[in-house]
Amino acid sequence: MNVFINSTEAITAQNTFDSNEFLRNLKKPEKNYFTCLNPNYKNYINPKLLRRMSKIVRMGVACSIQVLQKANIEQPDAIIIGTGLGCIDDTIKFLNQIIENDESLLNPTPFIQSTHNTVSGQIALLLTCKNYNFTFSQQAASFETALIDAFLMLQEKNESNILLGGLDEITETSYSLMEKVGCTKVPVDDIFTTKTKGYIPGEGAGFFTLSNIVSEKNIACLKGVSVFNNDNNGNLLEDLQALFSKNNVSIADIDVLISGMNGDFYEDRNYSSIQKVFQTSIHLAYKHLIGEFDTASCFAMYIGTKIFQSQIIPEALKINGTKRNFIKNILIHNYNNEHKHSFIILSKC
Amino acid sequence: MQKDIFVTGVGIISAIGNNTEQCFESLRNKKSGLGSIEILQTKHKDKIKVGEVKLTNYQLLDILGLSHSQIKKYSRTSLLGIIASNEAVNNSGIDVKDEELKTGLISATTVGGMDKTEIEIADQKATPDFLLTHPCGDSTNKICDYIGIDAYRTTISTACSSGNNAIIHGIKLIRHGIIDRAIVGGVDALSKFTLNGFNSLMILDKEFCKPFDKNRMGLNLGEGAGFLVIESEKSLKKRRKQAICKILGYANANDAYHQTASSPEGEGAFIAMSAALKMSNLQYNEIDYINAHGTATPNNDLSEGLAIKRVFEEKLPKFSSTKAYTGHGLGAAAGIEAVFSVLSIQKGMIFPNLNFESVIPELNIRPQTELKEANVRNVLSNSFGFGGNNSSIIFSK
Amino acid sequence: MNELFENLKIQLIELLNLEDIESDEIGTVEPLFGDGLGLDSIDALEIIVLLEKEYGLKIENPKDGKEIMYSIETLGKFITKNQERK
Repeated sequence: MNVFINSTEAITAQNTFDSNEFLRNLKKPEKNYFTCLNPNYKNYINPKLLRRMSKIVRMGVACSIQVLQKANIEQPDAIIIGTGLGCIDDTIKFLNQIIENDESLLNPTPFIQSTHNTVSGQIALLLTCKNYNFTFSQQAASFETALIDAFLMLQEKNESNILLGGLDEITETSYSLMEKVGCTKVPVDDIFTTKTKGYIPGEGAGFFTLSNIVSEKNIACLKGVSVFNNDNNGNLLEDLQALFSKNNVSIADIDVLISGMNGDFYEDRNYSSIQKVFQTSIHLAYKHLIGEFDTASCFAMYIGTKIFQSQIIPEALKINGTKRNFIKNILIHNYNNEHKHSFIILSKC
Repeated sequence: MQKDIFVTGVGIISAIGNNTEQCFESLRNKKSGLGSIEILQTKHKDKIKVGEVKLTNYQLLDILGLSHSQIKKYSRTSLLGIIASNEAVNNSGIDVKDEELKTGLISATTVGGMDKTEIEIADQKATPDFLLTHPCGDSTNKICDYIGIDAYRTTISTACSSGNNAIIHGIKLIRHGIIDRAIVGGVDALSKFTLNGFNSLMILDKEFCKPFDKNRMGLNLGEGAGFLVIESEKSLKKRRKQAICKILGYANANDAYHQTASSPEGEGAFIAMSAALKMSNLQYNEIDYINAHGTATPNNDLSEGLAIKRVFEEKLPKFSSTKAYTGHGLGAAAGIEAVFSVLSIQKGMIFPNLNFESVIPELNIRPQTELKEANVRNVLSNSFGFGGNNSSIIFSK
Repeated sequence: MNELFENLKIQLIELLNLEDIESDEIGTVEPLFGDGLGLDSIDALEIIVLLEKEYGLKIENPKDGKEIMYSIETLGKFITKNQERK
């Protein structure tokens, strides 16, 4: 069965949420990391429910409400979320309380809110949705494995709609820990030309409704997902070719290649072999606009969907000069040291 | 599609034993692992009972043949996870390096490497290496590195239902041919974070927990890991291996009632159990044993009991909660109880619900309180978590 | 007593993050849980922590809390009664 993307929404450091703009009027990070441009959540979520919600929960709930509305879905058949660090703000809050109060007189709310499935649980509560509800937390593969779970479910269950999301948050504390460990670098104008280690951390949420129902709502077709492809034996291209053959796609068909380069010179080298293969495609990058976080590839899928919807490619994303008249096929490529190469193929419906 | 899913191996470490054989002996001899806190450093040390694995992290390293110099690299969660999953792999006899048959790992945890984070975060001067071991995915990565798995890995984190959900995801991957077999289950280590968290919710019992009892006061936390090896028929045939049992049905549903409490009618639990039964094509009276979630909190046992009665009506199967043996292992619970469910079928035994004295008046149902030898054909295993997440799995001979 | 009631209202607003509510919107005798202010079991636990932290009063069993926390008035009376004992 074909899997379609019917709607998408994102909250990021750029003006992406509930916006007619597609990555114009770009914002630079105010601090040494990217923080989201948060909407006025009261316009989207009942204030009575908002009070307990941390930033990440608000992001997830607001995006979910939007994508479900856009796709005209009241109750999805499944809610599937990927998050690398979960509700890190509440986790740190409760931890600090334990240390400061020496394990006594602790407030239960941050503990309850710290569970990784708080976002998916809150969405289910809001919608009174009693259906399938999963949360994946496998660092940089969190979104991809959530996506695979959604994809497989849509092969099994006819006439279904799934709410899928990827999200992660950053706090002052979590940033300072990352900085001390040495994986970050200070933002500069062009992170892809500095030949140094480190990335600029960020946060964000990217949500979608997926479906196996053919309708005029279909924006993009999710053709295939492949994860954990390592290049130990130099067989990465073989694996990619196998994915392509399985989906009746050829290298020349790929109009746009979206790479998850994050400015870390050493890690970014892992993108070059694939970029060479797709020399005649338009090359895009996005982490210089939203930062790096475990589930950042959800934004790549957001971009892909928006490109199909508008046939516009924002200048800010382009990293080569290639042009193509009509965008029909997009390949998303992400690399991470622990989880190796992942690929997502999207096509226009 | 590879429809049938077979269980070919089990591995476990918990408060009642460091491996399957030890755990089984404890189950058989009604020997609970609940007791005082000895290893975890906490202010509540002498105040509550837990199901602790009585091995220090150095001793866990020894079991794995890892040098003590590696201590900084591993959270306690990782070590427990590696021990149990490694036992499962050895028990099943699969060769993870097989070029034709792909092996994946789907694990579960609620707080990942928190046991290490909470100790090290207080030291503001040290480099926060715990950042690397904190995420849920780290223990999964450590298991994969130790055993040698690279085809597929992920971690599910849906509070106390996580382990069952890991099994469900593994089943789907095998059915669709993404992998041919998987190591599935969950792990969690005791931590001040969860101890204080549940204490702040006032749902801990200071004495030994009493699942399904009228006077139950709350849960005892536990720790450990439980994993199964599940395989497709194709994988089984190639290996010419006999399976221990099959998985016939599974389901996940959401209560959508409250963030932490279960709905009074146990709606989510009812939906999950009913759907798992429907998938299995079994008749209700073919379920021989329910390994209940049975945390011994006032809320869970009542709502789960009600849900069980709704599903089975007058024909209640024998049921018990094994949490009075092991404590509530959170992310490990479903994995541990999956192992117990498989053992129940393999050994032909129904394990007792310890510490039970009187029925919950609103339910008027008795759990199995004595060890019973029986032809156990089909077992239903429940695991329910915060966020209204409810999962049920049916194992079959 | 009125001052105590007012303080409690302000403390609850802060503790439970009732952002959009002013203290004069919280009735003194109206129920805090269910239909009234709409608080739930998690809020009840938070109030138990507040009682111990700010007023030195411990509630061992959350079930006892139901009557005590019915309204601002019952809360205030509980505090006054038990602080006199100290």
